[in-house]
Formats: sequence, C-alpha cells, structure tokens
Amino acid sequence: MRRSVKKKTSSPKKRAPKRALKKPSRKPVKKSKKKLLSTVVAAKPAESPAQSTWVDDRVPQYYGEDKLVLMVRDPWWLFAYWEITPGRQKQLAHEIDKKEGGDRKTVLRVYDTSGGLALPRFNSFFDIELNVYSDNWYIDTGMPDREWVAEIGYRTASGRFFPLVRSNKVRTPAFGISEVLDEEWMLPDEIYYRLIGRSLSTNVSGNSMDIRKLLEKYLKNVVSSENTPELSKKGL
Amino acid sequence: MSQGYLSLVLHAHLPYVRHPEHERFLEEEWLYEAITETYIPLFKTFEALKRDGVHFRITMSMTPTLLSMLTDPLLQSRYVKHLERLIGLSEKEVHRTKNDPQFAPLARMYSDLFHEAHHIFCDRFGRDLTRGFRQFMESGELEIITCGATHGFLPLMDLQPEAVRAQIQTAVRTHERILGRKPRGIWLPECGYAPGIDKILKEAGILFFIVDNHAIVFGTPRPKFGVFAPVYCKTGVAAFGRDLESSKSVWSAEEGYPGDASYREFYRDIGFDLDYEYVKPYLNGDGTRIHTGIKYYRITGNSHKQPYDPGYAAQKAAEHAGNFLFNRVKQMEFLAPLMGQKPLVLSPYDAELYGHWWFEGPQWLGYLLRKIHFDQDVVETLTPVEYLERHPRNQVVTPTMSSWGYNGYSEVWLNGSNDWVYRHLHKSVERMVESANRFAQPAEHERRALNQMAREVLLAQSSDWAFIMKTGTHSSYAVNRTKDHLQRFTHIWEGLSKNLIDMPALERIESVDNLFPDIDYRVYASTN
Repeated sequence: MRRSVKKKTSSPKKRAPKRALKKPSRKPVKKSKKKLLSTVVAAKPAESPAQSTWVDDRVPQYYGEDKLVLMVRDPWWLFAYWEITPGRQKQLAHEIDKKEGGDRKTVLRVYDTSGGLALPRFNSFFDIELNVYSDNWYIDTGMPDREWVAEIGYRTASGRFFPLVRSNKVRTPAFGISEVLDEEWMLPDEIYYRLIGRSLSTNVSGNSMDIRKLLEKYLKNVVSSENTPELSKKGL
Repeated sequence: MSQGYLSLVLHAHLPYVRHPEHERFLEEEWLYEAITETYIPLFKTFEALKRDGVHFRITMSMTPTLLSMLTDPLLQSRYVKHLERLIGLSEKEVHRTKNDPQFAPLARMYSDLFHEAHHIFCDRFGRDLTRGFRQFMESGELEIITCGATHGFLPLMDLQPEAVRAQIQTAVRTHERILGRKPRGIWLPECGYAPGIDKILKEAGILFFIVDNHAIVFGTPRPKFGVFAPVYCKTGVAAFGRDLESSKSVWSAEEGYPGDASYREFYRDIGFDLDYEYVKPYLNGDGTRIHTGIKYYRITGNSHKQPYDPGYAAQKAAEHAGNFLFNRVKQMEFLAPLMGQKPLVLSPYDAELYGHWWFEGPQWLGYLLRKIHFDQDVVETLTPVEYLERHPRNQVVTPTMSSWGYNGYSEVWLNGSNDWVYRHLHKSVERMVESANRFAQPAEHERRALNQMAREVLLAQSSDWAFIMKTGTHSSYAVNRTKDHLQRFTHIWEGLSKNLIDMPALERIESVDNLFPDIDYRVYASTN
C-alpha cells in the first residue's frame, strides 16, 4: 500500500550525488544487545538524513574487510559502496613507496568489460578521484547495455595504478527497442510501430526513436506506481 | 467470439507489521484499514458478481506477508477490537447527525458498512479472510498468485542468487500452506525483474510473472507483439507486460478516474474534522489525530467541499466503467487485425487503490465486469494461465532489468535516503548463506536459531522500508524496522557462531517475528 507519496523526486540524471560522510572510524563490529526488541527508537538527530540513518549502535559502520560492491541503478548509473581496512591501505602504500615516491591519489577505476572480458582485459576505463571520507558513489556511465567492473586503488604521479580492491561484475540494461530481430517473428516496420505505439497511447505511430522518447516520458511522469496517492489529492 | 482479452491484476500487499509488545501500534492500522476498506469490499464485489451469474476472471497477488497477517490470531483479534471501536464511533455519528438531512444518510452508510464487515469477518469466515478469497480461487474466477516472501526488491539482490531463491521458495511454501495450492504465477515485488531471476522462478514451479511495459518492449530480440502477447524467457517461464493505455486511465493523477469530483474525498476525515475530545477515544494510543475511515465529503474541485452523494458517485463509477470498456473495445479492434491473433491487454493495479484510496474502486470493478459480461462480445476477461493454455506458442524474448517504480528501474530503492541498507543486507545474506552451508545437521536449538536468522534477513529486505525511507512519511519507522531486524539477525548469528545461543532472546524474537512458521533455513544453502 502506498501512503502519502510525493510524486516529484529530485534526482537529476546527470549529476552524481556526492555525500559528505562522517569520517570512517574503523571500529570493529559493535555488539549492543540492549535494544533487541525495540522498534520505536527515534532516529538520532544529525546534519543530514544520509548521516542519521547509519550512525547507530544497532548496525556497525563497517565489517572490517576489503570489499567493493557494484549495483545497477538504471541503464546509465551504477552505485558502488566499499570498505577498505587500514591494514590493506598501509600495506599497499608501503609497496608503492618502495617503487616510486611522490603523490598518489585514491581513485575508483571503472572498466568497461563488455563482451565477456575479465580483468586485466577490458575495453576502456575511467577514473573518479575519491576523498578519504567517501565510502559510496553514484557512477554515471552514460552507457546502457554494457558490462562493468570497478577497482579502488592508488594512482601515482607517474600514472601507474595499484588496486586495493576489486568489485563484482554488473551489466546495465539496454534502453530502447532492440535491433536484434527474430526472423520467425518479424512484422513489417510500419505495422510494428503502430502496434508498439498503441501500447503507449492511442494512435501513435513513428519509428524506434519516437517510441523510445514516448516511453521515456511515460516512465518518468505518468504511470509509475508512486502516483497513486496523488489521485485523492487532486481536488485539494 | 471475442476479439481480445483483458487480464486485470490486483496486487494486494502490506509489509509485516505486528507489535505484540505494544497494546496499540499506529502502523498496524494499515492492515485494519485495508481489511475494512479494500479486502472486504473486493470480496463483496466478487461475491455479488458470482451470485448474479457474471462470468469473470481476476488475478490477485496476495503476498506472503499479507497472508501471514490475515491468518495471525493476534492481529485478527486486534482487528475485531479496532472494528468494534469504529462501529461505536459510527453509531455515535448516526446519533449526532440524526437531524441533518445531508449527513445522516452518510453516517448510516458507514455504520452499515462496518456492521457488515464485522459480520463477514467474524461470522462468515471465523476471522480468517483468506477463506473468503480461497473460495473464488477454488471455483476458478480468481487466480491468486504469490510475491517475494517479504516483498524484497529482487534486482538489487541478484548478486546473491541465494537471497532471491530464499524470497521465492519461502513465498511458495507460505502460499501453499495458507491457500492449499502452489502458486502458478508471481507478482515480482515492484515488478522488479533482472535476467536470471526467471531461472529461480522455474525451480519453484512458477509459470509466469508480471513486468512493466519497457521490460518487454526493450527486450531482446525485439518482441513481435509488444506487450500484447506474453513472451517466454529462455527458461520457458512466461513474462506478461503491463499495458500503459489502460493503466493510465486508473493510475494517472491528471487523467485517472479516481480524481473525479463526484468521488469521495480521502483527505477529509472526521478524525481531523471533528472536535478533539469527541474523537479522542477512537484515535491511536498517543492521541494524534488520524484517519478513522469516516469521510463525508466529495472531491468537488478546488472550491468549498460538497457533501458526498453515494448515488451520484455510483452513477459516475458506472459511467467510468463504461468508458474503460469502450476504450478496451477500440483497443482490441485496432490491435486484432494488426496482430492476426487475439491481443492480450494486462492491467495491473495496487489492490489498495481500490476502496482505500479510491472508495468507489470496487464498485467500478463490479460495473466493469458486468458490462463485459452482459453488454458486448469484443472483450473477454481471462487469467495469464488461461492465456497460456489457449496460446501455448509464444516468442522467446529476454526482458530487460526494470521495475514499475519512478523512472522505471531501481532508483526508488537505491538513492541517498536508503542506499546505506545494502551494505548490511548483503552482509547478512553472506553470513546466512555461510551458516546454511556450515550447518547441514544442526541440533534443535541451532536449527531454531538458523530459521529465525532466515526470518530476520527476509524481514530486513522488505522493499517497503527502502520505499518509505525515500518518501519521508513514517521514515523513522522504516529505518528502525531495518535496523531491528539486522540487529536481531546479528545477535543470533554471533551466538550460533560461538556456540553460545542466547535462548531467552531467541525465544523473544521468535514470538515477535513469528511469520513463516515452517521456514527452512536451507533455502539459503548454495546450490553449486
């Protein structure tokens, strides 16, 4: 059941939300058993909703492991969260210092591994520079229907990259009408787009791009499940 | 001979909310309101149709959490108390308005509705409303399908297939225990699909699932008939896509029927409108004003609210049902010749839209099904399973990852307000899988601990919590529920791992989070 839902959301497609998170304390898992059965504990006040939700003794901040997880938000955006133990960071920093001195930056390196590639093989990559306090990131890949793997590591002044941790592999969904045709089930284009157009609105015809635009409009505005409660507000 | 098929799907779901530790609990009222305002009115609609010899077919998902709450003795007895309080209030209202020609009939209407609900709930079904729906399932009008065990959003779980499998297997088991039959179809929570999930559905014996329009239209290869015929995944499980044109006429805030000025206004409730001392005994424990369910005004427009007129509203519902059918007839007549076969239009809705939000919704549904039966022969209602029986040959297409949420993908459940949960959910699943693999032959107390851990993981995964965090209302409740289940999980897991299970705590947790009594933690074991 949906209750008091806001129709408008403010999550622009092309801006990575950067969050100022509290400095990681690297504490081991806390074991508080006091509030085992409580459900009505008020959330602690904090500067932002993002902080208030996870600063709490019922769940630890980190689990004391080296881990990077990629998740798919939509055809263009991925979400990554991670934790890297201080031990792992020190160990790698030490190795790098033995080879070359100078500055190094912590970066999230995102590889396009489409076509079933596995690192060290990849098609291309891009880097996102991280500050030491971040432990999650929304990644704008801009590319539907591709496969991705990420690493967090140090990039040295000479441009060499030393990975600390590697993620799982994900695939962004395709966006748009497939170019893959199934001969046994083909329809002439003209009939096809009248048919697909009808699934969006009455008497729409056109080509793949028109249909795609219409569908985008629908997905964003008209029929998402969040709209329901707004119905009753209409007369207010 | 009809020219096309209409498949109406109602998704009935509420998250598991049960707080024996409090005498009254605000969020428990979600269930009580839904029983009075949606589930009983839908039951009455189906019963009246059947009594009048109307042939109809409806598909309804009843989620495992909803089925569990509807069959829980504590919640059943609390609902009766709630309803009896409401009957008391409605009788007071009959008395208060007796000299007011506009409001007296409305007060009487609510009083009658609540008395009737009491009769249906207590006298006819012995407090177990699932029996009411089960009879239509057995006689074939109603196809009841399942959902994820706790409505977990599966695309954000799919890096751990064991988590998806546990949601599905536990759902199937619960459905069969309560309804006496294995489900043939599933409403994927939030219509959330990602390629590969169908493999786990297949293992569970599920024949079909429902997805949003773009899951099919953007599928590979290009689907010949768009959403007007189902497709098979490579596993042979069928995917049915949502038709947007028919959805829009009910869902849309701008164009949808429920916003019509003659319908009842949801937001004008005597819980807010009447003198505080008068309504106070009927408010929830802390005395905050809430909806009582007694609402006297119609939507009206932007001006002064007019009193509700049930006769006028019923006429409007009939008119809207006629309009919906007219548009489906046009749609079928357009599609059938293009396709060279009968099109299928699948229209899914949240069940709670009907009756709870849109008071006249169940009436509208009744009128629609009567008109389809008596007034025309172009459109015929049928269930997805019946479609597959009549048209077993369908194209093989892999749908795309998608959902029916805002923007069509995972954003509603993965954004700055709720993304923190996944670090913990994934860790719990990892520990759960590892424990399930390790304890192949557990002692009895270990088995109980493992089963309760499984319940806690599932409860923490409800998509409702992430959704509520996103929308803001009740968000502290959603945050607390997530953390409580995670904490309970971790506490039991630590005890199990150290061979020091805290039995008194385990028993307390079992008594509070008591759903899925026959759960088997081994659903989390790795299969390869």
